[in-house]
Amino acid sequence: MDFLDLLKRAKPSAEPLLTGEWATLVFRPDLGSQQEFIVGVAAAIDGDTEPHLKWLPSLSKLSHLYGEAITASDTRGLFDGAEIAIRASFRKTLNLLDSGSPHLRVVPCGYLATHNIADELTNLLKRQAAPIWGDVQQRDDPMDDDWAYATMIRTIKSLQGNRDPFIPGRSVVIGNKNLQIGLTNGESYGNIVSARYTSFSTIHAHIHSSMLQVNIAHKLSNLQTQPALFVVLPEAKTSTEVATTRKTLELLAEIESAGGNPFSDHDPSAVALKLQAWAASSQ
Amino acid sequence: MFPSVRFPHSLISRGLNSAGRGRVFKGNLPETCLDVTQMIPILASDSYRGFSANLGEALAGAKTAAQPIFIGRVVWPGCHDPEDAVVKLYEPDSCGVANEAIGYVINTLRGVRQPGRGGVLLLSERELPALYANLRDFIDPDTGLAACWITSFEGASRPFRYLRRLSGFSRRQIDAFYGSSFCIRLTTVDHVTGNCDRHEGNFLYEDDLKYLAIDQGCVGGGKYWHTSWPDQNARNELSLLAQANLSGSRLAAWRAAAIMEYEKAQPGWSGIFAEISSVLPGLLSADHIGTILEYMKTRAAGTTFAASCERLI
Repeated sequence: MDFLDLLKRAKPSAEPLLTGEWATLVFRPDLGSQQEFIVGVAAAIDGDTEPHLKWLPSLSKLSHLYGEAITASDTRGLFDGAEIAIRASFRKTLNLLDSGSPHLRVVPCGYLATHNIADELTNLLKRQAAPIWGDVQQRDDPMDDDWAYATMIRTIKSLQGNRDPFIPGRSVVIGNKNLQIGLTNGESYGNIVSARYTSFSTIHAHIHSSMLQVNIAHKLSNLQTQPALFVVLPEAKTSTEVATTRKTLELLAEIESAGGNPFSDHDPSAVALKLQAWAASSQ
Repeated sequence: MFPSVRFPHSLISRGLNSAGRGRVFKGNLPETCLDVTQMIPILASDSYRGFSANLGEALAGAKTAAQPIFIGRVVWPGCHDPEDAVVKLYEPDSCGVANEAIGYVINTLRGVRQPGRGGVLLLSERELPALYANLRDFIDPDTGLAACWITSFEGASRPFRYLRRLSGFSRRQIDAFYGSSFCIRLTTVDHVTGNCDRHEGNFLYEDDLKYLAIDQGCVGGGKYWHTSWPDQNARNELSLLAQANLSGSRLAAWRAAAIMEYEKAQPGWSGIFAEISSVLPGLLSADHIGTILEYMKTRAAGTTFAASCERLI
């Protein structure tokens, strides 16, 4: 074989800017089982003093495989610790790196060449961990119960001469029960719920849970007034939001027929006005 | 020695490969043609982006044969992004890479489905992954380079193409395989090239009508044919498999179909050999090119295939 002749005939290609080596980061959740997952990749680029690391952006698929046995936050905490250990033990090469945990090992994979190390690591990890790769969903600020509660506080406090119905810490201790309740007007308790979750089942669960807390508080306090529930409805711009609004209003009607006192509107300011009126309605 | 024949652009650019869906080379060639050497690009390390996964541990025989084989990322000519490729190392004193090139070009021109791209990749020791084998034997001491045969990695397609051996086929799948034009044509091609390694792991099963031929490293009876002489009695593994798997009358019918296919292809071989001779410089010396072409020319002519079938009987 004439290597020099072959080299002369080789098709030219853009020479990569960066060369070095790379490794997979292999996760073994259960040390008693041989099941392993590639959860990250690392690279040592020639001339760099720090390794480049890329972890799975979302651990939701991995968590789903193990159910409640693995939580994303615990696993992320393990990976964060491993990254600290890997960076501390790095000495120009990926061999002999210490992950700081027997659950994670670094498997050197040899030569790497690329124009862009960040893109390359993402591509490598997507390829190596395809079944458990999941992009983090980029969302606008969540419009959950916390958002609804904060919006109500902001709006009510911007209005002059109001009685403050908000319970600090959204928690009330009655007897030996610690109840998650956010509102009181002196005669009854209430809660604020957002109906802007993606799934109606989530909304359903939150409304029921909130009403349950308020009902228990009324029962333990022997209050004869109606427990209140303030609900910020979806904007109803899409067919899904229209359907969610309809189902939520049907649920609130059931609550009202069962003795509850629900207030709702698509506009958070309108809900705040109803809340202001409720706060001022007591003796 | 051979007539200069050009092959139609459509055949070469599409390569009669996995995308070619088994079209048959008829030997009637139009004027507008492309150089067949473009079918086998030679790539240097600037086209290589690194190791992806080891294959040797997954392939029966690869480890015991000390044949380093892995998935690497390669930027093919005309492409911007690296793609997965099967990278196979051959010793520099062997003619394994040349064999692969011969087999790939012939499969393409004879309409045998195979991976979409094939080529030669030259890597330095630093760029080679740490595999189970001692890779020093694969590095040319003068240049420090290793010669690798690369093909596109068809297993990465969607849906995956799983490697399956004949031993895992159902009876219906076995019947479909031996009845396929792929099997019959590849049997005759392997006879002409003297490929003695078409065992059941060297074709990919896609479905009952689609297969892909891989691994042409043993053309001429093995990867070291040039040190002695091409093996005149190279085993035809597909013929042997057919003999083992088909009953008497069905085996006779299969052989008759294969002999007819062999005879039908005979007029086209001289043109194919002419093209092969343009691919091999650098991979083989002029003497060795002449040797292997003469060897295949002899096996493509007359009744040598029928005779080999009779020997089996």
